[in-house]
Amino acid sequence: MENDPLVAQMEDFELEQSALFAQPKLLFTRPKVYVKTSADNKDGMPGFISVIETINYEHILSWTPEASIPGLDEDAYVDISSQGDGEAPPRSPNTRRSFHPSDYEVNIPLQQIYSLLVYPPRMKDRHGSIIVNLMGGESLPAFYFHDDANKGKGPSGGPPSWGGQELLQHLEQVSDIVGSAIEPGVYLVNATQADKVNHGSASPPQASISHPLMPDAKDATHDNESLYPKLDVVDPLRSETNISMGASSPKAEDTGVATATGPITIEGMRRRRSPSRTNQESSTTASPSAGSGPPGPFARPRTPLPFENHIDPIITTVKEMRWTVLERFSQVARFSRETATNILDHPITKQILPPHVQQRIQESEAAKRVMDDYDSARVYLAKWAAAVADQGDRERRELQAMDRLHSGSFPGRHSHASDKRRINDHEDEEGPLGSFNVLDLETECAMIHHTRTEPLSPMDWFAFFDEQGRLTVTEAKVREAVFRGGIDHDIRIEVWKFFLGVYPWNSTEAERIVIRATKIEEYFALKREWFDSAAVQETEAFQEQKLRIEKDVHRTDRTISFFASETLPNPSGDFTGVGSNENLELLKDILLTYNVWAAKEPTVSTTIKPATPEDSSNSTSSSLSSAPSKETNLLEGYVQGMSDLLAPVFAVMGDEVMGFWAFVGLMEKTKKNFYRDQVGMQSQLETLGKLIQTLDPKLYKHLEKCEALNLFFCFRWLLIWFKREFEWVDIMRLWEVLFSDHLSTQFHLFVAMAILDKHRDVMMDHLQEFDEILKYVNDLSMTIDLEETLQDAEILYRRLECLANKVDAKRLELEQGSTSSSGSAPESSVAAVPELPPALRRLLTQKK
Amino acid sequence: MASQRKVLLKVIILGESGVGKTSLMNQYVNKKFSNQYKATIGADFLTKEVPIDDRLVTMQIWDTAGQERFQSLGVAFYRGADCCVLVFDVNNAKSFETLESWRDEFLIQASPNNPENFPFVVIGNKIDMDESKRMVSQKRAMAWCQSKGNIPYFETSAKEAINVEQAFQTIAKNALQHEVNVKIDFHDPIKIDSDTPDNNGCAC
Ligand SMILES: Nc1nc2c(ncn2[C@@H]2O[C@H](COP(=O)(O)OP(=O)(O)OP(=O)(O)O)[C@@H](O)[C@H]2O)c(=O)[nH]1
Ligand SMILES: [Mg+2]
Repeated sequence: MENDPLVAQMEDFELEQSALFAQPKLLFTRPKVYVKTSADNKDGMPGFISVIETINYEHILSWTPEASIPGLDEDAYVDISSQGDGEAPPRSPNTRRSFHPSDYEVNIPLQQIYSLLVYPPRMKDRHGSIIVNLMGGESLPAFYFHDDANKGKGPSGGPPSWGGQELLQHLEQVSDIVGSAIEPGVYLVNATQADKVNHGSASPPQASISHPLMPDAKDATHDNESLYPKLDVVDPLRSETNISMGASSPKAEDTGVATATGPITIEGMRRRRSPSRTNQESSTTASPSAGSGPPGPFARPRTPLPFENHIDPIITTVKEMRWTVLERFSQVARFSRETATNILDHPITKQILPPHVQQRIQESEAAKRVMDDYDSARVYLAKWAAAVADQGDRERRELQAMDRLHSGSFPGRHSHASDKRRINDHEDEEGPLGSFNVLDLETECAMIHHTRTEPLSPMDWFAFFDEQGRLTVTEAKVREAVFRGGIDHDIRIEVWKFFLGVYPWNSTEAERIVIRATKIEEYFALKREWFDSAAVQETEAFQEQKLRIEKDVHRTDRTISFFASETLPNPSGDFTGVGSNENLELLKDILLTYNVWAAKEPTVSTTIKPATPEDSSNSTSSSLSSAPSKETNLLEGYVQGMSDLLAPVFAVMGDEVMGFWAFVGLMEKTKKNFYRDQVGMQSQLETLGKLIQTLDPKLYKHLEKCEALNLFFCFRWLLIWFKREFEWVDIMRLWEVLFSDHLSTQFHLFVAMAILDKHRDVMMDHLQEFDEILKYVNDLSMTIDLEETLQDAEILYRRLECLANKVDAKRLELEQGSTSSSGSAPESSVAAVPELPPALRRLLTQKK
Repeated sequence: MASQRKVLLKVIILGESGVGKTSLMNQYVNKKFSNQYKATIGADFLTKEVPIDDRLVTMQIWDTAGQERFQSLGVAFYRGADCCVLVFDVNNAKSFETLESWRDEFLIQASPNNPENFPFVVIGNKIDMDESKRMVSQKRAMAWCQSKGNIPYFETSAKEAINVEQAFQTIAKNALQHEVNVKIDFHDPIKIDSDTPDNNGCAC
């Protein structure tokens, strides 16, 4: 099967796709990398140096000043860098004010880098530095790696980690880096063969960076002063560099060793090299000076401050991306701190430590702690990676929207940005439908667009009705409209009543007036059953439920102004010192009344067959009309989570009676989640599992490896329909889309799938254990973009639908043509065509 | 794997809904109390670095939902626990009376190797409330703890940060003890330097 030519074809296709839909990645970052801003400023400005992979697999070397990260809590960063000798990074308010920190940002595609001058730390220059020489002959100011905390005294004698080395090693992974044999300390980046020859580095690289930076036992004994002996000797031009770079560079005597031929050779090579580079990179990025080739040696930097950013369109985008990423980073940091995860209280996690780096720094005190906090660090890293990816996603979407606008196709219909890559990501893992390859599934199901649009406006809504107030369009049409755009808040109060079963779709306004009156009567009749009955109130069951409800109501949406105030004394003795308000009291009454209602519910059979899970009542046999069996009522009144479901519904309805009935309607959709035997939740999680397995077998495999297949990290999502995951206003929008039952009564499972899909790369790259996934997913709360999620959910639904159709078509074809067509392989019999799991079939068929 | 290099202590907090499990955890880890914590749905955890004797360990504190309905979920998280904290509300007798079943359920589901010696800690929370509200006396709680093999007992207030630190110090110690006992051949490769600055060395 693996050798099937079709499969090979698929793989090519996938390669192509992945190139198109990859996401920008942060490959490496290191904090506390300083750039000197003036000679009198001792250390200069701290920042982050990073290597970023763009969506086009371009690589960018980037440096961003800490100061330009909005809201970055600088104190938080002092810790690690000052740990070594208690020296805090300098703060120089005067300097700060005189420039814009962002002026110093650097974003250089690796193609524009000609070479790196590497000065590892020495006794006289504790930090070590790297100077980046550009193709155009310019140099960037030296980057000083202040990683004191990781330096020295490794008890086990292992090599200490130097940030510059880390950087080189990461660059080496994405580019060809060779050390110059004739100019120690010079590393050529993606050098031409000619360059290599001129540097004596063409043959097996004597100075490949994996080795020379590591302390060499022989040299170390021979030169005690040097931490990285092989790189002692630096380029002769370094002395010039020193002039403009300021202090703390290697001493002049260090530089005398190298040959005098260096500059000439290099300059010559540079010129030969440049043109070929210009066509690799878009011409805009080629340094203007490259062609004319001014004689100035490459290592002579111009006065660098504030240096140019080599602005061109690509770089500008990258810059903006970086900016946003770092801004988000600081938000993540703040958010996490507030939400009480202590991940960020750890100095090392603040540095976004790439996992493999930890190996090398375990000797330091701080490193010990990161070892202890390794999992947290990983979760944290994952979060940042997600933020980077998200930004890329967004930009791509915007670009696509623009494209479409220009090409005059449907505005508002964008294709799922990254779906193809994800869904085609089948190479080695095959899900239950792995052999769908045969069906050319990916090519045909790939170009699916979502249909999201504007919310239903009051105008649209009223236009649906005739003079009697009866719907003139089909119910299906309203459902579709709400599915696609949601509902303007002003008319939610009315529209939700249709969707939640308070009003029949075909009612007239006059009928609805009657319904309202009856509903009021009915409600108070129910409420009186407990409210007016001392006997009921005295029962233990009631007391217990009441207490439970009170406790939860006081913990429900208290940040929403509707529920926030404490204008009433708390009637319940159990919350001494905690006030209440009218709306909270009404929430309690509604929930207590719902208990009465739920007790009257026809009981549901406990014998739900595992094969036909959650939806038995939605299918043909109506559970309401059939005689209730004499089994236990599985609902048994209030269960935690219900207060979360009630709050938005009550707030939208604005009054107790309608709040109650709308809540009853919502509970009809969700009550199985609360059944005592938890079968409802279980079967949903199982179905979601099948959805993952079918649409993203790789992710499924990964979850399996993490022992996370129970999907408990999605439990909260499904139980209360993402109530804790989105902001209040988003919840109303999401829920009405779910109310619509337009595509599926189980559309929330596609929403779940969409969120997982969005984060699947990060989860697969960074998270390896169940608890890490749980933490990561829990912490997604309030960071998820709803519109995007709904778009993706719709596309995922369509994709599944497309799959189902393909399967059916293939089966039909094979059945009909079994005699005529020459069966190419025994597998191509009908039996070999995989079947979609029944649970997924049901997702597609259950709609209103 | 990296996880072998570190000491991770897994602590599970159990008890009736509303007794203050989430509040205790947040008070201990973040030194904060809020009236606005939501009822826990599913499970979550926080981690905290704790110096115990001469070593630094990571406590992973699991907070699960208190309502029985969701206990079937909780058990997925019990596995590998090093200590179980049973919390009740001193102003709510029922929350105390159910401790027994919480304990039993935990032992069944987590099935530790040596259930007799598995470390529990009992916390009676919300002692800041008016004495007149109190439904479970210290004596009664201690008697129960004694009958269960001398479980350490603490009375706390998550709201006023009373005794929380002390309770969790004991939790950490006992969890570490358990971890060491369970993994007899466990060898921690990380040796802490004697000149280690005590990062928690507050002047308290
Ligand atoms: N007075 C007082 N109130 C407390 C204390 N601890 C918690 N509470 C309050 O008790 C209620 C429940 O606290 P939580 O920490 O959410 O309880 P929980 O045990 O996590 O509850 P579940 O998540 O439902 O299992 C909240 O309203 C808290 O504000 C305390 O020490 N004193
Ligand atoms: Mg809780």
